[in-house]
Amino acid sequence: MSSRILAGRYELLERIGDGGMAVVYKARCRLLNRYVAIKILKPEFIKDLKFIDNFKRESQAAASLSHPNIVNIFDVGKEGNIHYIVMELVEGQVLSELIKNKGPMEWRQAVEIMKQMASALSLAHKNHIIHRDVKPQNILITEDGVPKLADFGIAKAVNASTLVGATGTVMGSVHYFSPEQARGGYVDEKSDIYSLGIVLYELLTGRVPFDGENPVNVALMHINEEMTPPSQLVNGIPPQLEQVVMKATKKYQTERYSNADEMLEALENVEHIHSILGKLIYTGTRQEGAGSPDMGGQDHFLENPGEENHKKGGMKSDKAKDTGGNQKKRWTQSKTVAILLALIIALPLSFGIYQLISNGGVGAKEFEMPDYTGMLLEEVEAMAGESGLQVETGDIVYSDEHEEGRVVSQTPAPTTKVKEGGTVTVNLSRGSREGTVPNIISKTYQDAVFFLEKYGYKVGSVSYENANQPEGLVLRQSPTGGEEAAPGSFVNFVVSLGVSESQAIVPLLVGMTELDATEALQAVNLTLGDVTIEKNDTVAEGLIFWQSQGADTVVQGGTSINVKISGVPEDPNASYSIPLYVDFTQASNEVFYLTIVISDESGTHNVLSNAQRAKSDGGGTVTLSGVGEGTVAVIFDTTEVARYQVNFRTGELF
Amino acid sequence: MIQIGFKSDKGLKRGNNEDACFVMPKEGVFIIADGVGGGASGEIASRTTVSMIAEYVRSNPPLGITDVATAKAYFLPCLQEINDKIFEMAEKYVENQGMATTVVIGHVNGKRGYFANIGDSRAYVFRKGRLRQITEDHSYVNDLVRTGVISEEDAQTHAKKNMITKALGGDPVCEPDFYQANLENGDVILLCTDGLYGEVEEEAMISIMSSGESMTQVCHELVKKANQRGGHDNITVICIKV
Repeated sequence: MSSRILAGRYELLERIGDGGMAVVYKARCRLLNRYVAIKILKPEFIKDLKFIDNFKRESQAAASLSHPNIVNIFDVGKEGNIHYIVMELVEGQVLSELIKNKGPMEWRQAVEIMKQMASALSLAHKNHIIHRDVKPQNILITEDGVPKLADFGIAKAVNASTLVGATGTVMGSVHYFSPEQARGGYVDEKSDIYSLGIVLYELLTGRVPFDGENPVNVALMHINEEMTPPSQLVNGIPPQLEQVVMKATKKYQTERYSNADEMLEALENVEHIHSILGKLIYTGTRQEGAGSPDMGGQDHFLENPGEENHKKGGMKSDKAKDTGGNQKKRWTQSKTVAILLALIIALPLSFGIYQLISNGGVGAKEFEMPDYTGMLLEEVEAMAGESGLQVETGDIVYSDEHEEGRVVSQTPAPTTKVKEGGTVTVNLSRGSREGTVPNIISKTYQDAVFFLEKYGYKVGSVSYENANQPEGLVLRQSPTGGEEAAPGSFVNFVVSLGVSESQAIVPLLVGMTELDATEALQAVNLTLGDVTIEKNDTVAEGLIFWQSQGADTVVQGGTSINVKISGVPEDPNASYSIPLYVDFTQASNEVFYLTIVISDESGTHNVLSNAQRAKSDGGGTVTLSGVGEGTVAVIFDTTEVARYQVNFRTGELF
Repeated sequence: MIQIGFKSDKGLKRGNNEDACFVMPKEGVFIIADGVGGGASGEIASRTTVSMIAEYVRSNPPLGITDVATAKAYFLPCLQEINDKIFEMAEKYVENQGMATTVVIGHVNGKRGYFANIGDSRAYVFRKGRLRQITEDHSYVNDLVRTGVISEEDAQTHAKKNMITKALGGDPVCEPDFYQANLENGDVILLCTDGLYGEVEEEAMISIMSSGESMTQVCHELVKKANQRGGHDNITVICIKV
């Protein structure tokens, strides 16, 4: 029993999920006597320290969020090399499964889910946490039908780390990527809004808008292609709802809802508008193919290409359409037209009022972005602070106009409408671009001087040395060609004296055998010096991998050149580290204690002593080290499961 | 060739070195591989690859390579065999799941250089202060650059810049690309992993390569610069002066 306890309090009960990065267990917290879900990172991820660090930081940030539609994080920790997150246990279904099994969702149900997700994102965004990976696989639906968003910020940990898989589980969410994520651009709250829009699209139509053979195709489609409006795929989607999808998934961040609250508001309006408009338009109409069961009563939706007109267009077109349309379906026609007219007048007005409220009072203040060009960062920060803006430093760029440290440009540009709490990125000057030093290597002394002066540089100190280059050619220069340096500064260089008769050019010995090297050196009046044998992975055994004087250098005749040869040094004290793979699948408990004991010529010592391991990890590699020959015993809990002979002098294990 | 330098360094942030390299001056073959995969599997993939190529080259010296087609005919069977082997190792053992490796091979034959690559390790030719990239990365961001979606600069900072789209052992089919380049006296062939070009911008690489130092010293300086810039990944470089 004790072997199934993590951190002294979580009793692992059963494995309930297996994701790309982690295995999820159902567990019971003994301390608080409740069921929880525990996510344990897979062993291949725990080597990457940066990943672990990000993972921990992001999870801790997400743990601060408390919302009925966010999967609560209770605890983040590690025991031995087991990194885990303790979360609220959600018993139910993953939304992606639901879509897979049931296909398109009734629109009201989709709106219900979306409203709760928008509300969840709203709280996260207010706490400056961007989810970055909103997708149906991350939305859990409880048995009571409550949706909960999971895995906050983990995408960031994955992205920021250098972890790569050739087959790449990370690529899985490319269907929900925003264009800026696909481009690697600046990701913000609106990227989550885009992804949520795609999820809504999928809920309504049962499919994602962009799908292709490979992730790159899909990413390109997000960037370049217009999506097929959901109403063309499924009948009965209210036009107001379609507009929510289209607006959330605009290619440009600035054209989307500016925050999750705005999207939530729009979703609420869908129901509101539909409850008035929808009933009236559709009253008494019967149309086949609308399919989905109805919550509201007997009204079925009519596929009506003119729907857009009711809101956008004028009354005239509606009227024309109505009179030219099917009279039988329009038995309340005159009444409809009258109420529509009222709505067309009323709607913009009420939106106007809403705008007034949100701009003037409770909501964030909107104002024109000030011009920070030419200011120092401190000044910008002080000013932006007053307007409630966050300042981020962008690129450091050359500028002829602005001195070093001053703002060259900014995004958003001056006079753009922005809201309080927004961010402004300023690019700072690194001063004016200096001149580029010309490359004078291999030029004659005279040419070198000519070029330097032509580019506005002065001839600095000039030294001479013997080299395998014709006499008079430049060998090296400082600063080197292509470097930036203020015009008028000095460039030093070294000029070749050629090779004198008493000198020799060192041949390339790397890749040769000792015998070949001796001959090659003798041919140019040099001798072979010390020969050392060292282990080297890059050059084949028996061949030279290092020489004390580099090839092509000029040395006095008779000099001896030391070399190192790749091979196994004969050292009686040699001590190899030997990796041993331990197969965990023979363990009888899920969490077990691993002990590894080495008995060798120096005595008996433990490599691991009662270290906790999880059977479901499959296995792990342990590095053994010791002296001379001996045995290695692998013990699970108290049972010896394997015994090996080992020789640390030769690196053998059998 | 008259000078060779090489260096492989695990960088500052990684616990192990998943890069491997091998130089065969006599045969004129130079190999770099950058392994991917959990645990030790990346290391196994890259080491297996370089040693299998080296073994192949030793037992079948590269003779009669005169163009891209003959270079392909020479290297492809060997790469396919390695691909199958790594793919099988990855399938067979759970701890090797996702194991694969990039590989870049340079072969110098007189005044011609032949190159093969899979993944995002690169071959460049440096001539008179200019660095020319020979191989095309098989990477997600390079696909985006090629289709004109993002600029080269954006690619440098893209969140998925490490994502490769082809790798040895990642897929049953092995499709390396082959290139050739004319060489002049004094040209330097640079083979490297993304640990170098991902950290060090091209100007700085050019500046180091222009210094006139020995190839060994140039390799040390390149690795040093990559570590100064953060050393987030393993760094491996081979420089061959012809």
